[in-house]
Amino acid sequence: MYILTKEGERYLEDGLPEVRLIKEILSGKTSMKELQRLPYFTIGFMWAKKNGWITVSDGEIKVEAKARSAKPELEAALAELSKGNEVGLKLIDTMLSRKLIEERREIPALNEKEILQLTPEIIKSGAWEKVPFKKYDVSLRTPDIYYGRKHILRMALDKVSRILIEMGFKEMEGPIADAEFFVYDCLFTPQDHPARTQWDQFSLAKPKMIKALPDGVVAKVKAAHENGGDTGSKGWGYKWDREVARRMVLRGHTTSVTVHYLMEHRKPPNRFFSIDKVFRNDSIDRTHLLEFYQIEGWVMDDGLTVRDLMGTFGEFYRKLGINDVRFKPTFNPYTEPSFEIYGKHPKLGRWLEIGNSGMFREEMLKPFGIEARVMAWGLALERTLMLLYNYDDIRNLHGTLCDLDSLREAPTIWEY
Amino acid sequence: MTTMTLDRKELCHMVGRNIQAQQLQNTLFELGLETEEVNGGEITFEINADRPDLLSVEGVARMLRFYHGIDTKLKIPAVERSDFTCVVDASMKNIRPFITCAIVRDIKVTGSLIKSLMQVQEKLHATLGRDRKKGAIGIHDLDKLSGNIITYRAVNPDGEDFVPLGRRERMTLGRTLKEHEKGIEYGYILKGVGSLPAIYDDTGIFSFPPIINSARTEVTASTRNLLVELTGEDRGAIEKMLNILLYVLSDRGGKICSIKVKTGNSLETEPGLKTERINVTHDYVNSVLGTEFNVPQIRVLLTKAGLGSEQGGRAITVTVPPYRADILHARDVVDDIGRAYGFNNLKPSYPATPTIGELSQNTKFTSAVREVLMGSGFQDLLNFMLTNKDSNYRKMGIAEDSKSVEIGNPYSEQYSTVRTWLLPSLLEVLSNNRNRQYPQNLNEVGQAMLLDDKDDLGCKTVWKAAAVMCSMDAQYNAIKSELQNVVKAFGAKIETPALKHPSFIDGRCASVLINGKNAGIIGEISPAVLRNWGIEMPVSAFEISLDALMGKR
Repeated sequence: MYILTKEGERYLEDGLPEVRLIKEILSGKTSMKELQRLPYFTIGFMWAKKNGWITVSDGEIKVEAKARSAKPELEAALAELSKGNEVGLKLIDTMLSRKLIEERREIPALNEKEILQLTPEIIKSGAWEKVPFKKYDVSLRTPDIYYGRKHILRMALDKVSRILIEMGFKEMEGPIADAEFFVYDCLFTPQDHPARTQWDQFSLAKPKMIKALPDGVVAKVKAAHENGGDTGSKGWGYKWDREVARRMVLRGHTTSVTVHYLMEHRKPPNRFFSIDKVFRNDSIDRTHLLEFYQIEGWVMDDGLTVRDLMGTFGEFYRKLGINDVRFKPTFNPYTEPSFEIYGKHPKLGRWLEIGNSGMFREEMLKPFGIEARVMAWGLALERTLMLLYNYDDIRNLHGTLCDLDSLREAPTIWEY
Repeated sequence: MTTMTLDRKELCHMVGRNIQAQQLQNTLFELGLETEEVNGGEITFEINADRPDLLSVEGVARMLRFYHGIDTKLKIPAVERSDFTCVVDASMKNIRPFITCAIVRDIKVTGSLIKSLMQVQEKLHATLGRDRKKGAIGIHDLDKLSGNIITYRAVNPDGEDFVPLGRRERMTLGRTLKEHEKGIEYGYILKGVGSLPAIYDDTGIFSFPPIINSARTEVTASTRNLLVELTGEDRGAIEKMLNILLYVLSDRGGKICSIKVKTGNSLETEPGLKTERINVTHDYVNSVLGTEFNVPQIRVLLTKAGLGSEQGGRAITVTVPPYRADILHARDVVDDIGRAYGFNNLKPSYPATPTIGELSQNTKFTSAVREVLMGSGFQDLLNFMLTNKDSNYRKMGIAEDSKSVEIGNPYSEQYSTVRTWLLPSLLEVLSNNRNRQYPQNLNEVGQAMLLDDKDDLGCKTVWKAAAVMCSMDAQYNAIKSELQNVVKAFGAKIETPALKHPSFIDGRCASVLINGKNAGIIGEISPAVLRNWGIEMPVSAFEISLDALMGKR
């Protein structure tokens, strides 16, 4: 059932603007300038044009032949509807789209003593002024609903990358499957280092070997390993094997991505970071996964010192909410000095290992032709999240073994 | 990284100063040794791989004596000459080429020495010795040897026999490899060499390196004089290991005597106990540490670090004692100076390096896609890339396409390949969460990997977006509207011509064209596939490549 809108009522009385416009023109007023004074001109002109009833040239409007004979169907339809008669669907559509008519719903008689649910009809009819609303028990628990939420680990990831962007770091990207050359050899890690054994890294059966290595760098890396080359070092004193370096692995750290970027950005100043996947042939339990996210960052500048390293990484942890940090000297094949970073848990007060860092060795940088100092650090995203938010099972934080409820009910991480 | 447990009282006795437990822990922390556990009088801490000289109580005490100023000069033990010779047979050249030895006299074998020697041997084997491959130690009662010439030569596995330590009967070397627990444990080192290494005295075999000593030359409480032999594949490694052992024995009052080692025409007197020299300038030290130390201050710190020094003009010549294996570069000396000063005593500074931060294009784009999907009610997921062919192919009802990157040494069959698409991961999450409330609408914007011969690496990583709707109403139309919404959000055009695909119900599956380019697949998951995953709720799904959506390619 349809009723006329206010606009529809007006047109029923005065005629449709486009019809009235045609009449005016046919009565002799053809000048655009003159016609524009009519109050219904804009809308009438639009519809007349749309219907192909008129053409305009040199400020004069001409009525087309078909308009002269056209029956004003819509006017007739409006009249029929107002009498309560049926009208063709096509005309109904047109009238609806021009908002000349609207659907009329039956207003049910309100017999209830209380309104259960508020409806558009009740709002319109004003029945709500006379009948009281039924009172709900507003303290009751309602069913849980779950929509799309950002994954808890992604929230942590976003938070960390926001901190790093604020500190002037640019994001890096690089291959997940890469040759050992970039993952270890370029990091001055000897070829028999325990990290390079089958118990620690995933080597690939397919693809097995990288096709080509960058020859110039290869010669220098080989020399650095064997006898130090021109890096001022003794080297590791063994015979370096190119075939070992060509083996493909799933990267065990994103420092391989740093290697690719160092080769392309040899001159200071630079700050780069990545938060990306790494793989370790470890085990799967409450605190270990085979794949996890590593946060990696580095700064290159002339004359960077250990104090700059402590200041930069201290600032990073402060932004994470860890105000007290201590540096424990440690050993990494490719950094010296090297530090494990310990932070005091903001709530629990315990000292926890929260990162590994160091100044890249000259044995690592010289083969790339880098004279400036580079300091770097890394930490696992999952571990950081677990420490800061007290999670006890890493399997809910990353991966296919997750419990949906744990994701659905995870707290939102926003602060830093 | 390895751990060491030692008795605090014994350590303090050797240092010559009583150090309280907490103070000891703090000092060790500053020097790079993190305490793991304090258990009564025992303290367990971590030793980094670069300091094998700290793998004994004697070594830690030595470091602390320098640190606390009790020792101020490097000690190089005196080496007396002996009339012993070790002859290296040419047959060893391609088996296990290197041997070095020394004699230690007048040693008092106590329980504490035996304990320390066992610990240092085991730790040296595991670290510098790389599980005995690069270097293995044998310690014998010198007085039980006959003659003063020992010979290192190759033996047929079924040839001469001896009584290995811990056994009573004579065994050939071949049988020792097969039956003795040490043979089983370390036999891999000798795999495929043919003949096996052995050390002889006048009586016969007394050592089968790197597996086991003979029972005949066993060290006991009444032993006074020792023969220490080391064999291996790395000459540098066995020399360092020998030096570290000799310092332990010398700290216990042993007198070190030399052995001549004859290889072909060359004759060398072992042990060398050589020091090394390395130059550093005070400018370099200060430029790394951010300090303003003068030369005398640096020299005081070097002494504290247990390194010798002489001043020559602007350079300082540093003497590295024979037991230190970690000084390759002047940078390593700077690190020692920093440790002696205490890195945590340095004042942190923030470098004025002028850079501007920025996210990568991929991060910007994938975040935007994820936002649209999360806004449509899909739970964001981060799944493993590691999977297996059963999940990636069979459970999805499709045949293997030999595009999977394969792991050579998988942790388990379950994680033996890298996923080539994302939908199996999402179905696995649905499968693991069957007892959780429905609807379960999930999405992942993540990476998959494909073998690719055109790439230098032989494979390529691709960014994809996938979503599943799992509920009673998960029909084609529903997922199609969701995909349309995503594609529209990036101003692209989508078409979905019908497609037959075994993972989906026939007649309810389409390929996805984005701006006319093939970008993925959409449809209702086939009940056969759902059954493979144990899912009993309808699932509709799509997966698209982000390159197409981003307008790449």
